[in-house]
Amino acid sequence: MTERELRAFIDVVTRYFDDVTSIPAEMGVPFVKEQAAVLLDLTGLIGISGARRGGIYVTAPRAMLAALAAVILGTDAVEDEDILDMVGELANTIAGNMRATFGSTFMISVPIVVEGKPDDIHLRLKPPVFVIPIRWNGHNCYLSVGLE
Amino acid sequence: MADPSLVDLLWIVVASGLVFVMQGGFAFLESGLTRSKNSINVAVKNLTDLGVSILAFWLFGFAIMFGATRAGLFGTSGFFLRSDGVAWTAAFFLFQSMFCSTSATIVSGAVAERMHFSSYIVSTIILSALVYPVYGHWAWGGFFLGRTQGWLEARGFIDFAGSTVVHSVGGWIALAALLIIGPRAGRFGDDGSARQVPASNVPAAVLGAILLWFGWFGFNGGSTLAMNASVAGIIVNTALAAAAGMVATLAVGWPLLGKPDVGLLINGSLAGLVAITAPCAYVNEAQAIVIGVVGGVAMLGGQVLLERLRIDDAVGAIPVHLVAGIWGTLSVGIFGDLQLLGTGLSRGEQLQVQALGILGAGAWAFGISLVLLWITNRISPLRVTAQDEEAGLNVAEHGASTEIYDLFRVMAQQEASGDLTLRVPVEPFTEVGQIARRYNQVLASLQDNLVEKSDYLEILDNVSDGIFLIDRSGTIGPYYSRATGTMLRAEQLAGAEFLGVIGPMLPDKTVGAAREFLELLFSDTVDRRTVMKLNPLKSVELFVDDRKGSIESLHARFSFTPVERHAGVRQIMIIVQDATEETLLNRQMEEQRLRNQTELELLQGVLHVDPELIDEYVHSSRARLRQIGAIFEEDRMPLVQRLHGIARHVHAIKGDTSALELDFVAERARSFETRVRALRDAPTVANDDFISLAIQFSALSDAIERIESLGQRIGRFRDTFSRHNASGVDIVRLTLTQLAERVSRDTGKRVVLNLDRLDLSSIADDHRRVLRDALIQLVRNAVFHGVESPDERRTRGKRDVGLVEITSELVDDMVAVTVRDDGRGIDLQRIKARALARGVINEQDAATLEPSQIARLLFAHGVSTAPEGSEHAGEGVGMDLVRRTMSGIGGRLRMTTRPGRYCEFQLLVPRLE
Repeated sequence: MTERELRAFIDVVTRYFDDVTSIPAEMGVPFVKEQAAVLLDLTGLIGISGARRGGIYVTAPRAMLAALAAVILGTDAVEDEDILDMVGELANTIAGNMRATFGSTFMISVPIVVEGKPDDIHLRLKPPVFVIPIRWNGHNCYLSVGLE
Repeated sequence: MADPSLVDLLWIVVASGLVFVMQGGFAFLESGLTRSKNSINVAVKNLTDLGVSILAFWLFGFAIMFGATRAGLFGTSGFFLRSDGVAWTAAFFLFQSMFCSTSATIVSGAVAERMHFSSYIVSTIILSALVYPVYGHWAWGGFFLGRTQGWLEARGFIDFAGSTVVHSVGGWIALAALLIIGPRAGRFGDDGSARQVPASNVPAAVLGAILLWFGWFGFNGGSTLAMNASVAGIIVNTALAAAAGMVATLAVGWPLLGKPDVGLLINGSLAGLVAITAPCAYVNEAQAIVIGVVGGVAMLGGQVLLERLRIDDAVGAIPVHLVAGIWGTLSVGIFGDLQLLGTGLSRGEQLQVQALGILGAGAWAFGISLVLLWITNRISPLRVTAQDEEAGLNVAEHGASTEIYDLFRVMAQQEASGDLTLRVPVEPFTEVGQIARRYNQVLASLQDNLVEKSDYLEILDNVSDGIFLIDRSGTIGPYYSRATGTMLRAEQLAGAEFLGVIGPMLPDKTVGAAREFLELLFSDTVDRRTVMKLNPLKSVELFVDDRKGSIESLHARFSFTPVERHAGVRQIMIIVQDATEETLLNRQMEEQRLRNQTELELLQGVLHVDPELIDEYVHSSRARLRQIGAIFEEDRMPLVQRLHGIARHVHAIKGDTSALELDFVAERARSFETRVRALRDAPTVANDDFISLAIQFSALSDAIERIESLGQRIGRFRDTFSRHNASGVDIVRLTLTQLAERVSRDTGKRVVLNLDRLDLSSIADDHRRVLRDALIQLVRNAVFHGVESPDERRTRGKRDVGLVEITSELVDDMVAVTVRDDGRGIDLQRIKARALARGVINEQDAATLEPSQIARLLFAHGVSTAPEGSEHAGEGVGMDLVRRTMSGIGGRLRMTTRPGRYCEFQLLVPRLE
């Protein structure tokens, strides 16, 4: 994976927060994981094939998604269901933006949302996996990118 | 009655004949209006009721109707009637029995299609021996004896020819029977809607109506019981009322039904006839028309009412005979010429008595028949079973099959079994026969097509490639191989758009190219062979979203074949082959090749380094990499401090790498270090800057990982190598054992190599290597040449398993190593012949050579006894080699043999000091 591609992925994710909430997101220092995956409460996974093979996922704590839902829905009464919808929506928007950015050469899957820490999720990503912490509105989530 | 004239008698007999014709009319009418599966039953009921009613009427009916009265209720004389030569009696009986039969036959039409034949006979007997005569006595009891007898008759009730006596009574009995047996299956829907049962033969029904009309001239005209002046007028009135009934019913019914229904015309005219029956002798022509009109309309009303009440009258007998009969009887009071009636009653009184007669008929005829038929039904059901009704009464009741029935039966069988080989029976010269023949032809061609089609479908089901057709719009046809669905990951392909199916699995670019390609293929103006070369799907990777967050790869080859029809390309056949396995295998091989190539290059850079050093290097570098990784993740550490930490570790790695001259890694470490230093010395640092560092870090990790893997491989290689060298004696043993096994397996022999008494420890290493090579030759020869095949050994009385034994013993300063096999020994003559053939010796030598000299030839270059140059022997250099190498180390060679017993070689090798 090239630096340009990694930057483009990071850009797609941070732009989401800027566009949707107008509260900017800030990336932390990226790091490389060979084995163990970073997984928080809810994870949106997107498979990638074509010019590069592997996948990316965004994993976030429930509190952050609740805050995100509250900002987007304009209410503090956020239900569990809203949170699930929110992470689904987040994954969909990111996948959509990825298609717009890489569409001509990358095949981008329909995103799925997983709860908790399934064992096989990091298998969908090809090592080395770059993990980029993203801080938004006082919460941390992680973007993991693992492409051949 | 006074003596009738012959003309009167003649008229009565002729009129009887006309009434008789009405039986034929009823038969045609009723069987025509019902379904053909019941036609025989309906027709034969008409014949049966005629015969049964005549007999019953002669036995009892006539006496009850016309005998001397008991209180005006029933007659008591004239049972088993005898005319005793009195013409009037006979003529009168004849005429009246026809009337009785007419009344009886009315019932048959109403109850058609579901009443047991036997029950119908019972009902006929009840009617003609009891119900009809009793009421007849009330109204007409005095007609025979000439004095007023019946109680209605005495009150002035007038029913000239029987609107009530014959028709209403028949209608009442029919109504009672209908209430008991219920409607035909399917006549009324569950929602109460009425369904029409189709008439089987309308022309016959029309003929029946015409015959009835004709017979009615006798029915009404003959009721004068004399050929007098009123007969013609009566017949005219009859005809006018019939015509008026028909026209009026048509006029009212047509707009209502929206069509000139056949039933309107038939039943309209019959209603007119029934209505005029009572008043025909007492009204003028205009009145007759009015009576006919009202009769027709009343019949129509009756029909609607019955349907509302869900009473199923198969031919409309009740509206025609009961409803119109009531009206006709009332019309006597309304229109009848009081003088002609001669009852002495006022019009009001006459109307009252007419009504009384109608009520009397209803009470008696409906009441008594309801009771009697209900009892009969309890004893023996009036109605046939549902299966019989379905099959039709022709078959069920009379065993009389019709062609159409047979046709239906076979069709039903076919429907149930799905057996296309069945054929329906064909009756020549009939319409049904023509239908049957055509049906058989259709079946035959259907069967052929289905068989052919099923073959094709079988192929499509089993072929491993995807095969299907698309049309100009790109739509997939209805038939496609089962594999297509599996390959294209679609369950329902028929009617789907081809590019719509594969589009989501391909990059947009490829889809666009495929679209243009298909357009060109369908185009008539381009050279198709050129177009075919452009196939963008010739070898393509399909990306299948597994809906689990991954994309599966499927490699496929699409080939396109335009299907040419009269006017250009209409369809394209597409074949898809799954090339996933093959492609992956090729890719793996290519990757392997590349890896080998780079590893080889890497190997050159690593070979000069001692494996232990590499180990140490990898170990320490890995530790440093882990520390760098940890610094990346160390959130709380300031960025510049992190850069310092990273720089330190990278520098160390770079130093180690350079020391070992691992250029491949050193390059990456240098590049990483340069980047880290640049950032460290930059005025500001942002998180963003770490992206490139992460990439560099990953590249360095990868390089060290490769060195590690290479180091491990070198280590493994070295281990194996040193292990083999560690104990040379074992290597010799192992080599010889494996050799003996291999040669014996290849030659189909069974050999045991015994090395138990072999000890090479007192031989120097370099001598041992020479000895090993010599032993290899000797063991190979012993197994290949010496030991015989198991069969041969058995014939020589030896054990199947040959023994090759190598032993060693110390002889002075030498070690004597002996190789002995218990095979066939050495054939000296053959050695000699071989040496001669190879030109090693000449003819003269051959004649004079001693056996020991011949044996020596064995060690001469170019002599071998093996038949051909195989892997194991026959090169003729083996023994020569042994001799030369042995002499090279100061060793000696000795051979003893006994043909058929053994062969033994002794190698004397200098002993280790």
